Amino acid sequence: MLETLLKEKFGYSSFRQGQKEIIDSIIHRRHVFAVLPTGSGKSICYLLPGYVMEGLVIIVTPLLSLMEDQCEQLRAHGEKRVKALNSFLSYQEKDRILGQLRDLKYLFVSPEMLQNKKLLNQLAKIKLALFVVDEAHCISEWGHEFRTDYLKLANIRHTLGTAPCLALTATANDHVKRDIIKQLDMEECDQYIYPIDRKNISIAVKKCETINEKIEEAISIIKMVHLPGILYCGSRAWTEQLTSIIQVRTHYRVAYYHGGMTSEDRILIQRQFIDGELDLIVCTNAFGMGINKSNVRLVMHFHYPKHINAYVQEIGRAGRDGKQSLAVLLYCPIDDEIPKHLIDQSYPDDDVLARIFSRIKYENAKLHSDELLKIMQEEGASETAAHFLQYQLVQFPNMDLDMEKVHNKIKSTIHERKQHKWRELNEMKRWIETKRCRREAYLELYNEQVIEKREPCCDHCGLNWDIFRKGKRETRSLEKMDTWEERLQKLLNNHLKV
Amino acid sequence: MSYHVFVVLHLIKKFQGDRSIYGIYHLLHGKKSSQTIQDSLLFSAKAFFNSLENLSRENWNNLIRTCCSKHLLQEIKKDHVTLTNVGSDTYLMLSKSYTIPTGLELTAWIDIETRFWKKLKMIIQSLSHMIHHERYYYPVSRQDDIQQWTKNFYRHLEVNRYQLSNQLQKEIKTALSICSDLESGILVYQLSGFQVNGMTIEQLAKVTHLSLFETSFLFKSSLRKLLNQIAAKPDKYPILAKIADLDRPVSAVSLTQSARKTLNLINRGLTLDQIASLRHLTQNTIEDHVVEIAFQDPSFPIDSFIDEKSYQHIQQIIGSLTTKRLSVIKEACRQDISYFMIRLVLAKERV
Ligand SMILES: Nc1ncnc2c1ncn2[C@@H]1O[C@H](COP(=O)(O)OP(=O)(O)O)[C@@H](O)[C@H]1O
Ligand SMILES: [Mg+2]
Ligand SMILES: [Zn+2]
Repeated sequence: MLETLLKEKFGYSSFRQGQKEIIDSIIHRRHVFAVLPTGSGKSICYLLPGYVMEGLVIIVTPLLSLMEDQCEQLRAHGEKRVKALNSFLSYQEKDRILGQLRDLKYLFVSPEMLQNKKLLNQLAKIKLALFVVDEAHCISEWGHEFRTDYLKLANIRHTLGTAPCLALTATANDHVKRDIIKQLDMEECDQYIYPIDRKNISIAVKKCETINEKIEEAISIIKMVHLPGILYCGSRAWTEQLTSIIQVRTHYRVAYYHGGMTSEDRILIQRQFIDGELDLIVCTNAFGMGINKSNVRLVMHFHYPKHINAYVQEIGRAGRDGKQSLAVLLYCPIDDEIPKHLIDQSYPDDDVLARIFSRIKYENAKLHSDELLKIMQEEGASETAAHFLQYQLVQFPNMDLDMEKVHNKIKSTIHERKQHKWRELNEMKRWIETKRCRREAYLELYNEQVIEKREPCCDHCGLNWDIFRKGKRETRSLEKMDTWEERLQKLLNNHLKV
Repeated sequence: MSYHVFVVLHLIKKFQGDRSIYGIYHLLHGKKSSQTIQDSLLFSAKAFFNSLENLSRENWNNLIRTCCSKHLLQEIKKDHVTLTNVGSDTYLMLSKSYTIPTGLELTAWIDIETRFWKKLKMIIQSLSHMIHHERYYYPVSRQDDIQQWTKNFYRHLEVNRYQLSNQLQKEIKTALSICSDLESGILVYQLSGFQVNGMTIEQLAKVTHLSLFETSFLFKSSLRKLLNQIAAKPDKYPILAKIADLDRPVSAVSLTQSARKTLNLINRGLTLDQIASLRHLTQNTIEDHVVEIAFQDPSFPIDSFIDEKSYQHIQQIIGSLTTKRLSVIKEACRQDISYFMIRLVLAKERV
């Protein structure tokens, strides 16, 4: 019985909402598209079938850190037959893993890695139990711009046989859902879509006039409400700057986290946060996906995300334990500059595009070469824009035949993608400006309704901040530090031994 | 901030505008290229190699810009700066209160220090969990080769884990006794183990009320002292010596991996052209490798790249100039002399 297996392998005594139904479909070899809220236990939906079905479970995962986290978590449950393959491994390491495929039960891969011929050859030789795409909204969010390998997953899935496909995400509106199903070519699938509404998260937006006012607001909220908390910012520089300000102005244990840090520092900070040694983490959107911490009480946005999907994902990291938690978005008019700039930066503008095309023509640059990237950047394209353009160009291997046509084609692709990004951004902005219940307003975008309203809902329904106010005892005093000899003893003497 | 300024002025003074600020950045950041490794010797700045691993290009840039706006530095050409008079005075003043930690000068093992540190962190973390009977933990390093190495380490050991952790603790305490408490603390507090999470350098800077640069330097100072102790008396530190693995030939380690590949191909008789096309690299890159090899290995023959006459010509020019700036030397040389030739001679002469 599945329950017995769940208990034996993972130590849980019952299934959570959705898990059993999804697993059942998969075991009956049906394709499954599932939307389950963050923290609801999506991983079990592909891990458990691994113990029932014969063959390898492949999990396509967008982020390196996420992949490694999942691997370590599985190992922590005593499962050794698990590996992560990504482009950052050295040649020898990749080779070693490829040699062991037959002995593995779970393989985490990046979509880029699935382009590797050697891997595909090896995979073709072994039996596949299940093809999983975790955080499947990335297909729609990133696949069209800079990670076009996401769009090739369906093809790869087909070449690997007929194993069922499972697409998992925490947030997908209708548009994203249709895109995922289409891109994975799984029109005939069982769909499990559970309410994304998280009743225990109260939502508020605070408007400020200036950045300074916003900083003050952030600090007073941090001082007032229950922590631990996550503070999202729009740029790396802001995470660092806010961290130092908060460190000076409060006595909370604060650290920043962003993609520019070394992997080792990121691991330390993440562990400190999970183990309760930090009260607040100030981060870019690089932090959070797959992070498993149940008692986050506050998610605050210092800058608003590019679209509402990201917003819902990010606030979903609060209150996984079901206790009342708070999501606050701080807004001031100048914030609008950041996403505008980001969208513009992601694509070459018309002039730049024209200059690049004329240089490709006269210099006969190879499409795959780094040289081409350099040319693009010399002509004023940002790094992201250059990568986007290179991906687009590679779609036309014979473009020297009709350069003009390709030029126009790409121009219109850029136009479409920009329009799309603008629509999403406007949707986000409209939500910030709304006068209605905030929960109703965002759920509507997912064709969902608020069934029973629970207090405290949102700032427009009326929010009593006292609920979140922390007691006196929660203020911390500075701890004395051990000497280095004592610290070393703590590490290398068994202090549990009597 | 002032310690940062002190370090910037100290370095700029050493390089006297002969290298771009990015050249200096690569040195601090520990970029393993032939150019930085040579520069570190040419300008006797080896102590600073790899000393600020976490420094971002952007922060370095900002720092230089700040110093320029305070008129401590002046730009002599794009990305090249020298000290102004105010800068020199400020430097003299700052040197009264600040110093570069002494251990930084112990550069004999800088090629392996980063790897040693990663291995040490992994051993302590795994050992700490083992003696607490906890089998699972999140490794502090996700580098597969380091994880693999850790596994092998235990496979070849005869002592049990309790003996091992006692012995290791004793060795670290003894070896660190030549460091200041501050240095030792900065090193030890970065380590993770059972129910203990290490701190980042930046967090340590906060709690010690030191600047980020000074904290990084103090860490590298203690790490280098530690390695030097191990190298001097390996018998006294058997476990640490095993982790450090100092017996491996250094010359092989100090070539970048890519240069080593090029060397193998040269030894098999391929021309630089052939190597470039075989490896899909530019001719320039391959030439970089050759310069690096010539620099690291004095016995490497270079007569197939430069004739005797040209060599002497360049040698003379270098002797007559006071600068090591390539463009100036090139200007003074015969028309047919290439940058590559000049760099080869500089490497050979180790000027
Ligand atoms: N049936 C269950 N009973 C108890 N805990 C569960 C169950 N399923 C999952 N969990 C736990 O819930 C947490 C979140 O799971 P995870 O798969 O990471 O969530 P998601 O991917 O949906 O965000 C994990 O700690 C997991 O072990
Ligand atoms: Mg998940
Ligand atoms: Zn409401």
